Amino acid sequence: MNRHLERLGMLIFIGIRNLRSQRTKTLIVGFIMVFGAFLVVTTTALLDSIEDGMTRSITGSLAGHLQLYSADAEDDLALFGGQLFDNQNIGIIEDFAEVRRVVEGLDEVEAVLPMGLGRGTALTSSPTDEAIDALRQARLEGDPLEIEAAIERLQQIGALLKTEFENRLSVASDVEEIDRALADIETLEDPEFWEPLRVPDSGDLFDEADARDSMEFLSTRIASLSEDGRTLFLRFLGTDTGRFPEAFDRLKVVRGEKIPPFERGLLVSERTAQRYFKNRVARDLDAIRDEVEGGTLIAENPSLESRVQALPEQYNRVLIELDPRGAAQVREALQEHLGSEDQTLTQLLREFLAVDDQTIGPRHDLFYEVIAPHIDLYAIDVGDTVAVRTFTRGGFLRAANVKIWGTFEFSGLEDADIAGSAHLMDMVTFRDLMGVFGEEEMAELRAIREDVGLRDVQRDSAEDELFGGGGSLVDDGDSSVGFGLADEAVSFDRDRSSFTYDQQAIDQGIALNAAVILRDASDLRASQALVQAAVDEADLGLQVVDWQSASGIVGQFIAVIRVTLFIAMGIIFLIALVIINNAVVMATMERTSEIGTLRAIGAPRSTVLTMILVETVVLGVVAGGIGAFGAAGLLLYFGQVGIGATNDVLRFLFSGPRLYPMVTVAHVLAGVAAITAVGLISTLYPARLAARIQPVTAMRRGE
Amino acid sequence: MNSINRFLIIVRIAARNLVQAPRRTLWLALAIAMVTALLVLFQGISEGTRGHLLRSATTLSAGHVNVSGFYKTTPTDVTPLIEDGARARRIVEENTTGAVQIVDRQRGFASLITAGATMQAGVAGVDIEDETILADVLQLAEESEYVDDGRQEVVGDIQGLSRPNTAVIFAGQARRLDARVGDTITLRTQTFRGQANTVDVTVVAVAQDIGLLSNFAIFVPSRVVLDLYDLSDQTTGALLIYLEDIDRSEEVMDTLRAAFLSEDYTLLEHQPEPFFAKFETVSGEDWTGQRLDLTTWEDEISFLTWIVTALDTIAFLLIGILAIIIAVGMMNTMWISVRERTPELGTVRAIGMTRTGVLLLFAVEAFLLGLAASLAGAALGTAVAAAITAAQIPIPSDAVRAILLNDIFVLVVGLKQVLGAVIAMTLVMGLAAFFPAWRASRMQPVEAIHR
Repeated sequence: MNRHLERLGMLIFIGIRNLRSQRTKTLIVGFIMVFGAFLVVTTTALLDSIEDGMTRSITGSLAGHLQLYSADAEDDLALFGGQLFDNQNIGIIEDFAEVRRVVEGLDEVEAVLPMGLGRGTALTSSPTDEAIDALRQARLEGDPLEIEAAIERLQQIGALLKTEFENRLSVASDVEEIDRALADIETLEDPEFWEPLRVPDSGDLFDEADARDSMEFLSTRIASLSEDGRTLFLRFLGTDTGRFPEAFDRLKVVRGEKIPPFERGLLVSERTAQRYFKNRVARDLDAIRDEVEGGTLIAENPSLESRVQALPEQYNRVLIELDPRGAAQVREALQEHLGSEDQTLTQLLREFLAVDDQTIGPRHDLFYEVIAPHIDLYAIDVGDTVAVRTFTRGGFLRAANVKIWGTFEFSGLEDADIAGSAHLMDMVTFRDLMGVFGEEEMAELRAIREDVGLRDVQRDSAEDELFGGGGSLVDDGDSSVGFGLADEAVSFDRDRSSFTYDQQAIDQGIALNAAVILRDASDLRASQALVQAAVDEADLGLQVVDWQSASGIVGQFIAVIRVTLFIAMGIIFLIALVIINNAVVMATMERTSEIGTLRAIGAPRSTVLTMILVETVVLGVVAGGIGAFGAAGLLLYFGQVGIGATNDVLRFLFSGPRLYPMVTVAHVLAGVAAITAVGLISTLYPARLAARIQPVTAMRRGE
Repeated sequence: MNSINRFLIIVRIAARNLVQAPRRTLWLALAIAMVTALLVLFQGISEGTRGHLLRSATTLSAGHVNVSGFYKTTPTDVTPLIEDGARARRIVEENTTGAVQIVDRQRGFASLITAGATMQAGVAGVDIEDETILADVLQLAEESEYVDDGRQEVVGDIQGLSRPNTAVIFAGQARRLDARVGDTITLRTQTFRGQANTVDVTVVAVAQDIGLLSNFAIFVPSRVVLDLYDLSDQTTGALLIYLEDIDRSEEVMDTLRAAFLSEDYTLLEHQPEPFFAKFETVSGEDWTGQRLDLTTWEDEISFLTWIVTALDTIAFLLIGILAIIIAVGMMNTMWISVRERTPELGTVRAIGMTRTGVLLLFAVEAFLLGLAASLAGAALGTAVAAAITAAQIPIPSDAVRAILLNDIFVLVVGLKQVLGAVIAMTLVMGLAAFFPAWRASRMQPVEAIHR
């Protein structure tokens, strides 16, 4: 043993000496190796960090480790959008309770949750409805000042409506309809219309007759003219909202509270609230302040600059929400802050919103102190009850009133767009909105059908076919879809409008897909096989996929990047191999006499071979080491500082605005090993050449 | 002996030298050729994607220059339309030169509903008699492409759009909606005010997919969009202008801006974004009435150009790294060549060749090698690109399809790009050899002979 070690040691010694004496070749090959190792470590570490970030974003927020859905599904499950960015048809999980029993029975499984993704819209209440409510309230309370303020507001609204409809005249197809609307609006200009409303509500039926007529006119004719509430698009995940926080333990409530156990409601994604529900001016001020305090100068960043430039013109988003009292307070505060006296609120706001690097901080503060309390900072907010509308697969309208209990985010994923992409909705409301029936209800329907003599109804379209589609759970007054029969045709025994339910109601029903959380996620493939076996044995008719397949196009993206990287690395190594080979061959040829001499004094072929190879290994380890450690150092530095994402694509890849790469010993070793391997392969041929050199040649050269 | 002759002699010597050291020359040449071929292939993918993007966009949603507008009835709403379509069109016609076609389109967005499925798409309202370019570019699909057991023939006719309440959809959509020619689709829009309107249309033709973008567009007669949004027929959505020379787009746009301004129109500031990205900003601006927005095709597809940029960046990095590696190889080869031929150099200098001559000798050797190898590589790359494109290989992964915006691999190699690649490679090789060549030229004749 010792002799071999000794021998090896000597060869290494000779190897180093040889390398030093062949400076050029050493430098050339060494350089390529340093470069190559650097590349390997950098790219694999970055890729692993990116993949790691995405994995956490996806598994920790929506997918869990595995997903279950119908084996007969037409489309693949795509949690973050399918190819046509539409709701995939993934079939139905009939009885979730059975699935839960079977799968949670496995030791490996920690939890199974029912899920379903849906899309809908929420209509916020219009300022007109609110103003009418305010008048009603003021009259009940009997406060003359409040009544005057409410009437003034409604007259303001009337004036705006008039301008709007006059503007519509030139582009609308039905001019008569517009004229009728204008006639209604002009009623608001008649002082006699408002007379009965100026006095507080006396409670006397007879006295109140005129006032009632006026209020009815406002609530039916005027309110319907100004449907200017905003339509918000919602993406929601119906799930067991009681068990969800435990299973997805990164969940953290930001504002408000969790949905209380067994109650209906919505938990809004804080990220979506900040990006889409928040008043645009507030949002812009937030973003600008973040960037400037993060060290960016406005002038240096073109997209930030254009945002700053567009901001003053968005003043109306604040102005239009201020009532007269709020407007006065804001005007006063702005006049003081800006130090100007005579300007109108419009001018003041414009000036105020023209921010720069210095003024953004204090103005941002002032905005939240003085202006935010007087406006709707969020289009829909904690405590609001919103009417959520969806369309079933057959194209019929469903709606439900849903209360927003709070907002949430996932710790560590606050900045990842993927993680914040859906709101959480209780399973019962979700099922109602999807208009899909379970076995029990289908049985009821068939019984009814026999009674009434209807033709066969399909599950998906059952309620639609019975009710003709206008069947909303909520009477939202002027439903503008307007077709269908009266919706009191049939009623079920179960009271649909009950607010609370129990765990059984959640479990014993339909889900579209289900998330499986494993105790130990290290061997996904094995776990997946296990769950699939259990599911097949119980004849549940489901397929099991891992989170990456379930994430649709997003998961594929990661795979594509990895493959591209491997191909690129392969090409680089191939070319490096050719070049190194070339260099080593040439160098070996130059050492013909030296090698010949060695052979002449008795060194066997194997020694020559080994000597050449050892040279390469030493070079590989040293040069590779330099490159690998250099890369590791760079990555450690960026691991502290972070790499900024300059556009949306990078933000998506980095799962946030910055990527903090991680590098491990494995990466460094991989770099050194890879490059040494390349070196060895390229040296094999020249080493054999060298070994075949005859001792005679040394003497022939005579050097 | 004049300079040209001297130069030619050097070239011959260089060529002879290359041939006489086949082993190291060939390997290096192989590496250079491979990298050049790779460069050409990357350029092919990039150009193919870019060309495809341009074609899809200018067929489906934008002209080379676009005149569209926003109309606000209240300070908080926004509708994309131009109030007096005829007047705007007249101004465009009078002030545009080199236009091949100017068309009027209505623009909308709707849910497409059939018994089979629901999906969202942009709805383009057209006057099919005017849209000769569209009729040319849209190829109809054989029924078997979108119906299981469908007939192997084209069914339907684009000109059917001249009839009311009709639609032309794409094969991918037909498959998804389970619709064929003659079937009815319900279009439903939901306006910002929460109002929903529906119109039923009959499918008159199914066109072949144009990559991925065509999944999001259908064509209907203008009247359908007007009905969906309760708009009068005096309005139009946008005027799309197709030019003979697409590179004049910006120039034409600027001319039209000036023309509209002089006719007392108010224009939005030019934002290089697609029109659907501007809704939120415009809805927040405090004005009412009409403002026009002029864009070029590049603005309208700016949300997709990141793809081409990404492809180019990856190519640049990869090729750059490879170029460094083979440049190093070239340098090494040159060094060895210089060392081997030191005696020869000494002789040559002793009989009167100048330093410059020696420098040239080695430099030309490198250039020749670079040129020959990169030409071979470029030819190989071009051939492979043509073969791949002709084979119409389907792209296996959804994600890659989304990135390349196509269902098959399409590589487009242009002469300009190929020449560029060859020149770049040759130059890099020449530069790499410069240092060794320079050292060789500095050697004293005496030194050389003594070695």
